Amino acid sequence: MKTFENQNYYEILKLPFDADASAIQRAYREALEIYGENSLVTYELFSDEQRGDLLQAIDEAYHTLADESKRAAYNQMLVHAGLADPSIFARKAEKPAAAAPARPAPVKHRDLQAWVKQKSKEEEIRQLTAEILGKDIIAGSDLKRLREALEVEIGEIYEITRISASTIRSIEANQVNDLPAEVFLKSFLKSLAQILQIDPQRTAEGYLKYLALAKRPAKK
Amino acid sequence: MPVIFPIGGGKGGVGKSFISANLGALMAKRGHRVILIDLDLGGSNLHTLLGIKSPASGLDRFLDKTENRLEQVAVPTHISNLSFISSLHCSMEIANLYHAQKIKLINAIQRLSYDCVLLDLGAGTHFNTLDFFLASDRGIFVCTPEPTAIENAFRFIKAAYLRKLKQVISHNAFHKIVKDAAQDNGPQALRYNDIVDIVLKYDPGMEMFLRDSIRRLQFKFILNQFRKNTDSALGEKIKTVCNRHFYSPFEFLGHIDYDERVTDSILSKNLFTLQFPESKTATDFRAIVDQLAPKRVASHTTVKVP
Repeated sequence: MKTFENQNYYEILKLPFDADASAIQRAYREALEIYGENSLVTYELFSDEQRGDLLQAIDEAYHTLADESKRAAYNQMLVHAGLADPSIFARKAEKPAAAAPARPAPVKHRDLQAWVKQKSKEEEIRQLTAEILGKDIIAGSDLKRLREALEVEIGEIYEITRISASTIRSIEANQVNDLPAEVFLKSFLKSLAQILQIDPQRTAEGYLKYLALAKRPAKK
Repeated sequence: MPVIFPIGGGKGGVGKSFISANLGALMAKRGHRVILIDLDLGGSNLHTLLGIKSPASGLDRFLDKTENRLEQVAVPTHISNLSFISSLHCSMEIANLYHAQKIKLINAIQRLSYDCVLLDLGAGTHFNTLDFFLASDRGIFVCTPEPTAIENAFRFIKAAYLRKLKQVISHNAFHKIVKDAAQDNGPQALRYNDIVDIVLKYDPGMEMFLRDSIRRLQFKFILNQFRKNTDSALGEKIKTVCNRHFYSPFEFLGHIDYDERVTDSILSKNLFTLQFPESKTATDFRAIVDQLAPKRVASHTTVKVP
């Protein structure tokens, strides 16, 4: 069975040398979707060890190519080793973020769990998760911030949890009157937290505390 | 020499017999002379799909030497140009076919005077099933878009791939160490990924030969019982991944749409694609036949029918 051995990072992610940031992002998602642990495409095709190696290679490739300076150094290395033509450097520098194209449409069937797991390793996400869990009271806006930082769409959460998009929006927007009965809400919150890979028990408790506070003035 | 399409797939109930019968009927409708052989030894039911209650003759009469030629045990079906060889009356022990009988059968299949031969294989990865699958390099595996079916399909592919590797090694002048490794069936039996490494280490001159031989083995596959909410790119993704990680080429033939009327047509012993030719399912079948047997072979009228 062939592995990614002897393939360079561009080949691993199936990208041309001049791929831009959004193409790299997309290729990484697609690779996780195919090689992720729960992917239907490769279900039981690889042993755990083989899959681990493949995912590690994909990760290395992504983290190198997604970082402009690491990528430049890597390109330099490829040219030195005679594995790439010097024209590799002709690629236009990325435009500033403001002018960058909109985030690509979410890949519908990607392995969401693997994606969130990967993203959660990023420093920014770790800090955000810790900040939210550090609070006694958790508001819908906190969950929304985390979801957006993880680049997860509401539709994708619906696909897995079957919690309707409008309910998720109401939870995120703290629309107290539109929320389902507490017994359902609690279970929705836990499912939602599981997707976002943040402690489900504490998320549910924190949010219910928020609701209790929010309802109080209304009663007066 | 006929074009042989073995139809396998590892898991039971994914529709191997249903697909064999319908592909056979559609190929026959296009003017090809087609023969369907039920090689699900011990689990035959292709005759039922074809609406034949008890076939007048069958494989048993060829294996016990009552008839010398495989053609003689074929029976006609109600579809013109479509013949059928049943294994219904084979003895209870038939699933464990003797090696010599298997070789004789495979040789006879390869010499059948038909345009297309479809072999309906049983579930599982028994080595007889694998050898029938490898009787041609156009094997088709059928699977459904479910983890269980995909798991068994991959196990089937790996088993067929490994058996092919071993065959290539035992029939050719490889280094003794390589040959010994290939024949080791014990608990330390090698996995398909090790054998190329062994060849590289002890027999680097044979590496390209081995790769070329495996490259000639093609895997084609069909995703059956395809429903609306399934990822429509699943087949293409499986193809891409397999082409990336196996040395053999993979080709995705297409989906076959799930239709709840299939059960009814099996119950009424009608072939679905002929009963509902306008259905999406029948259209899917025709698209697959377009790839496998596009049009009637022009030279076939000149072929002598003995």
